[in-house]
Amino acid sequence: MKKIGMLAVAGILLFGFSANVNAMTESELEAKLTATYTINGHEFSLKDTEKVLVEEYLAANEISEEDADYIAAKVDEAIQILEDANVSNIDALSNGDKNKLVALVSDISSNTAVKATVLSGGVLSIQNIDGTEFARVTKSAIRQTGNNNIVLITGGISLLGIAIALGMLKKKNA
Amino acid sequence: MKAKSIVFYISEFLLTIFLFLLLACILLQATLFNASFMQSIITRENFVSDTTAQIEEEFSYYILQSGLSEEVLNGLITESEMAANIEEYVTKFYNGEEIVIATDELQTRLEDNIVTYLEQNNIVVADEASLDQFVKEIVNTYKQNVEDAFSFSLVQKPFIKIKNILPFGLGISVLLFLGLAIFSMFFCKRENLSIPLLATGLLYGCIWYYLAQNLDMKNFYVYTTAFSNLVKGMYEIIHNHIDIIAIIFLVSGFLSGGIYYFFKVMKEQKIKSVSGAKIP
Amino acid sequence: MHKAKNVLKGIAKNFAVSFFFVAFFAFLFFLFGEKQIKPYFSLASNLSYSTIKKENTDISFDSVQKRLLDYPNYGTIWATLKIPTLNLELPVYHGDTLDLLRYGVGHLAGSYFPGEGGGIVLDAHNTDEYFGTLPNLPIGGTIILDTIYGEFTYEVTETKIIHQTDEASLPVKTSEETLMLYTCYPMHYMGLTSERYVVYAKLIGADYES
Repeated sequence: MKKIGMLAVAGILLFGFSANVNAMTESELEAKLTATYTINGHEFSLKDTEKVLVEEYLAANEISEEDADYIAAKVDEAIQILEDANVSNIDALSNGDKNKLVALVSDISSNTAVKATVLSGGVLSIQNIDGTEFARVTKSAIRQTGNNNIVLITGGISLLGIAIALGMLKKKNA
Repeated sequence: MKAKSIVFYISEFLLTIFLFLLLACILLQATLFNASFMQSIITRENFVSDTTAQIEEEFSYYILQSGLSEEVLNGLITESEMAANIEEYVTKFYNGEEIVIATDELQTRLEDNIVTYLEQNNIVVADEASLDQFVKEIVNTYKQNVEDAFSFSLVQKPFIKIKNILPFGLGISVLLFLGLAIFSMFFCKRENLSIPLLATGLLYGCIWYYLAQNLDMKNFYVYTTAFSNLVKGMYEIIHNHIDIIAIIFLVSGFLSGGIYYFFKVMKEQKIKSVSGAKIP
Repeated sequence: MHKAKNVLKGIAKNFAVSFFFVAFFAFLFFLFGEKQIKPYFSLASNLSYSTIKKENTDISFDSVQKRLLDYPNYGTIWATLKIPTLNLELPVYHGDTLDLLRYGVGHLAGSYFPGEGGGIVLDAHNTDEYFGTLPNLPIGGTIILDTIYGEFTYEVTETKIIHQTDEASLPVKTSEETLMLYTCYPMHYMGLTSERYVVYAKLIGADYES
């Protein structure tokens, strides 16, 4: 009995701290994800097609407030990584910092209901929360031969997570 | 007496840990870190034919926009060649050698097919660059698909490190287990291993149950069907092995304890009957 | 009977001790280990891919918000593209990956849908069956998108040849609704080309289904 009590206390300690305090709505999340951020004098934002994808995904799927909060927190962490690194583009980041960004993507995919995967040839397949396929995207907007644009992130992928990482990685090609 | 008891239970606890680690090392060496195991899953899950089919399908995507005919893709890849390539990649992967996906032969075959097709149909191409682009895309598609299908290569370095450590882990676990078992046999008068066997069986049973409840691999999909099925197949077999270990060790634990207590009771009874005590 | 009882008692004692050990391991795991492992399990469950397609019958349009209330699944047909001048009538799929372009016109994921007021990007192969005759479509020509939620009519305003990497020529955040059709250029070419032929058209009529 005592053991069960101790397990319960451990459970509360583990999960209780993660309870959300300031719940974020979907529209607030959309604004946060599609905003342009000025970091160390350089502008970072998603590509327009990615912004539209975020808008459509959030319109078609009910994201819980907990998930919205979690994703927003990860966006803040990504911004913080860029601020701390004091670089003008992602290319200039150290491998350690790049890995931190990838870890954020992985965190979102593993801790929220957002489901996605990478298909052959670096095609990102995003699932709706009801299990149907929402969209497939590649990095290149202009189709035909662009199959070698690889979006390969070992560990984890999510629509919003990839949007954050790719949106910021985009800077390197600008 | 009390101190001996404490030492006895601590030794039982440590024996459980060593036995658990020992089995974990054996399980991993026999499955995940065993090239033959990987090959068997590759066969079981139709990895080669799935990969070949997917590559052929993706090749066909480029035909419509190229103005060429499907016949330029004839004989580009075969299942037998793919099987040989995959076997080579598996061997290199487990030996820690660099995996290089060879595309020269494919490129030559494709170029030859295109030349033959153009000649047979009296087609003169003004801009060779667009054909080169087509060849490049087909070769890239092949390379990308094989890389995706064999995505394990992404984790080759840490994999090899663990693979090299495992035999030491196994050796140390065996030594510690045997050493402690012998020590407790003399010091604590241990006469059976029922508790470590039962605890290890229970532990593996709990792991099996925890995985079944928490790791949903039914819809797992990443990169290609072939790769996803390979991962799911490996997981399924390892999960089943955990179940088997749990059952074997639980049964052994119960049997070991049962036999020990049976003979103990018999012995006590014999002593009592010899000394003339009334048998209830 | 008494013998069996004693044997069972002994086994039960061993099992109880084993159970206590396992409970202790479980306690340590739930206290320290699970937090590390759970995200990977969740990740493996989330890395999924479904071939289930939802019927597009429920999709409706919010004319106040200028937004679809739900979106078609990837790979499903949500419209028919009609170009009377070219005698073309083609199915439009949501998504434009190469596997879909074998069957019809692709709709770039991340571009808007008709009625939403932004850039709509559609692409298809340059064979005569698809967009191979696009250069014959004159400025002022009509393009109709007959969607599952209404019919939208566009008028061609401009044509352009762009490089395959020129994404800026296919804007989606536009001040007025623009339909963009593109295909590989030059037409009827052997191999893969690096140029694209683009047709731009503006919205001139919308008939929403109630």
